Amino acid sequence: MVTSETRAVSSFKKILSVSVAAALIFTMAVGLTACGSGSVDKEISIDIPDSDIVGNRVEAPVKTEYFTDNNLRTIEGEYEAPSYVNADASDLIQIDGLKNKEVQQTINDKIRGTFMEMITDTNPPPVRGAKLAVRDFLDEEGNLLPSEITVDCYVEASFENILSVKLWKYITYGSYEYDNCCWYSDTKVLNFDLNTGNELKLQDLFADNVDACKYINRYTNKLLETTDYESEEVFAYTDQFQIKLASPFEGFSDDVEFFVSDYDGSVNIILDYRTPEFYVGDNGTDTTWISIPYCEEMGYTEKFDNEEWLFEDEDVSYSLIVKPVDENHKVRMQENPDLSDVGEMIYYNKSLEYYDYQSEGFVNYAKKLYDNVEDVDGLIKDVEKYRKSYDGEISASHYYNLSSESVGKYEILSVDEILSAESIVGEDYYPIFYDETVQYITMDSTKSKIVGIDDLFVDGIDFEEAVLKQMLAKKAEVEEWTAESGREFVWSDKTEEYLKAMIESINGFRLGNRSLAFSFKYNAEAMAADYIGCDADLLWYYAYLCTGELYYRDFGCKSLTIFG
Amino acid sequence: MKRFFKIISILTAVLLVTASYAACSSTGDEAENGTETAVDTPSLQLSVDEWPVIDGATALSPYYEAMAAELLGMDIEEARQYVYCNKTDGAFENLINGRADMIFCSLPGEGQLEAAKEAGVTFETYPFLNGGFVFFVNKSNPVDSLTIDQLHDIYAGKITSWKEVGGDDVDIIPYQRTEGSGSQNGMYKYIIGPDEIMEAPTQLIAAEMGDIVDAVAFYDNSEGAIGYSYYYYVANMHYSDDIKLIKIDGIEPNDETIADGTYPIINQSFVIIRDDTPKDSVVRQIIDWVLSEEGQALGEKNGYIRNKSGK
Repeated sequence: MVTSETRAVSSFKKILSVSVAAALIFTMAVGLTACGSGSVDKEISIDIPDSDIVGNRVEAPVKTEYFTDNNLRTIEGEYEAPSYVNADASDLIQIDGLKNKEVQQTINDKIRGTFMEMITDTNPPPVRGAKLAVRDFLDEEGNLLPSEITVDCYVEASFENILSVKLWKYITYGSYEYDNCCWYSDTKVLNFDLNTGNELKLQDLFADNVDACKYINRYTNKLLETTDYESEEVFAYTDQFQIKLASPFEGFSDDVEFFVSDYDGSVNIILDYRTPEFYVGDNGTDTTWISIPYCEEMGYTEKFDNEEWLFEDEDVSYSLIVKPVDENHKVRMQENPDLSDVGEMIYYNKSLEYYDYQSEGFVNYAKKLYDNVEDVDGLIKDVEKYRKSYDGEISASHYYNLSSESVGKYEILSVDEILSAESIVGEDYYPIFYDETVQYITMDSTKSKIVGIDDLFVDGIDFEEAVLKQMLAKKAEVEEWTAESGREFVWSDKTEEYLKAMIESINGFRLGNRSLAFSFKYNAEAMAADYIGCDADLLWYYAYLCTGELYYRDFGCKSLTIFG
Repeated sequence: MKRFFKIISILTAVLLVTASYAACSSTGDEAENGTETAVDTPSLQLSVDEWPVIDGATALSPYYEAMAAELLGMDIEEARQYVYCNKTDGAFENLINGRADMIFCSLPGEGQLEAAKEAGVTFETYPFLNGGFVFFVNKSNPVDSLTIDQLHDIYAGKITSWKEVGGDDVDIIPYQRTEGSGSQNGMYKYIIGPDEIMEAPTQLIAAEMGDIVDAVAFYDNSEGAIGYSYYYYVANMHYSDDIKLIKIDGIEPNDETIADGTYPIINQSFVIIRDDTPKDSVVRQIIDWVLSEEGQALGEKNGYIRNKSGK
């Protein structure tokens, strides 16, 4: 699938990508307060006549343990564009792989139609001040011609027999060269039922006994109550991207623009000129979205379910449901003492973050680790010891950070620890030691039991062999990268020995929505140096074979117990 | 052909302006006599060609966007495209360097006055809406009223229990707002300066690089909490029903006491122009309209409080 992560961006779009990234951070950091644990309000129910119901009739609560991915492919569509369109950065996507070609054509026609509309419309989107700003760019005859239009398509969701496509347009007037230009962005979203090719309305994503509009409005109101949204005050996370409330929020209407994200199953409500009460960006002219976390009131997993598999590719793959970051439920502990009286360059920091809805067993385990780590006195004693053995001033630090996340029914603790010391003589630094470790600990919340790597694979699957196969599959990728930088990635028996040694040292794993990553007892680069003895600048590539993401679909989802 | 239409539209606009200017003056008189009649068409109507460049604060954008819709005879979605909203700082910058003809903001701060002085610009300011700086507590708190001195001492850390101001024996938690925010600036202006104010309650929040830092804690409406904001936000936006507004010197903040200026902490909103704006400029016609009964009624319709005090 083509996703926003894999697409190359032009330098122009990079400017905008800062905004997009900030929006994501914003939604993750502050936008997920009200219904992190499931639902906003159980009372929001309605009765819809059968004739108005799209797909299967579904009643909340809808219990879902994991999502079923689609096997759609995207291909690049051809189009003819006016001269002002930046064709290098404008990609039309079309889908392929649906068994029903008529439905596929309907969807592709709609995507193409919207794309063509966007690249041929030379007017700015109806944002604040746009018609004032473009007055400077009218030609002598009063015509408005942009200097550049870029339209790109992103697949935001392709799972559970639905497809969400976002089309993002940038239109520029004037010239950057002469510092005399203005530009705007505009977003259109298309959401499809892959059974029929019909476009989805917001209500179609929710169970039939839930009023979708009331649900998202109540969620947003709760979000606003717990957020410092006042005008002239930054509501978002970064300076590049601000969201404020310009006027009272009276509720979204049921025709609000939205898209679904197959990363976490969330429904995302677009905030732009169609929702002027939200002032987005530096000039109130940008676009962002509020993420409504996946919950039992959303019925789309069952609503569009079909006994018949809709795709030509018969391989079924699944993804876990990632629980979004929920600041309002986060609990933090920290010890960060002032050690200036011990030494100006002595640092000690230990912290623990978990969520108040995580299981008692998990939280107790995390607290125990936090309490048992060597305390600040240990660091102070070490510093005194170094002072006796080394010249110059001693710099030393001990960082120990525990962070938590929930994915499906699993709770994951990441333990990051850095211990370092060096002596400083004049302007020269002499390392005493440096040790950085990461360990993942995964617990099944329903059993309060740590899940071992063996438990991850169904009986009969040799996990070491499966993992080695996945690591070896990344060979081509690494060879390509090293070749690009003019270096040779030497592959030998030693490489395989190295990988096997690393697999033996696996001490934990971290589940993501579609992939997992391992933690190792030994540092991957140090091990590569020992086994392979290659140039230092190639060590990272060997380490990448072990430390990158390993996708569930490549293992075969049926080989994994998490989808049992 | 296009030029022909342009000439016609300019002539039409001139006629409209002439007619509306006369109408504007008479509307003002009618308002003073309390004899205004409800009309659908505003007394001032302008064309896109004569429309000035307007900018302003976010909090006032609902007003000047609605005003543009009224005066341009458009729906608000269309009219919004004819006004900027670059926030207070941006709006002043644009007014000073001539990129805006009029702005809707609070009074300029020191930095903005300094920038204007350097550019040789002097402002004319017209108060047109009233607002109040308000304090709130949990509804269950028996304290109804505080004096400005008591508020000063609470935020200086001198009064630490509600018992000292007639309430229960409960510790006061004086919440503050983030530095640089409008409400925090209001606090410094009306109650206590930044050098004297106590340290704000903080909460640990996630920061970059996995670090955790202290940040100003958000008002939580707990038993001993006290917080502050502007009346417009509290009255119109998303504050909980479980809070209670505190009277200042016995005067409750409400639409009436803020409109007539009897509430002790009034903050006003202004139309601000450069003083070299020509006397016959359309900008001055718009100011007349804003100050007229029609302009004031538009403010009320959008959740603001009119300026009845005449100051």
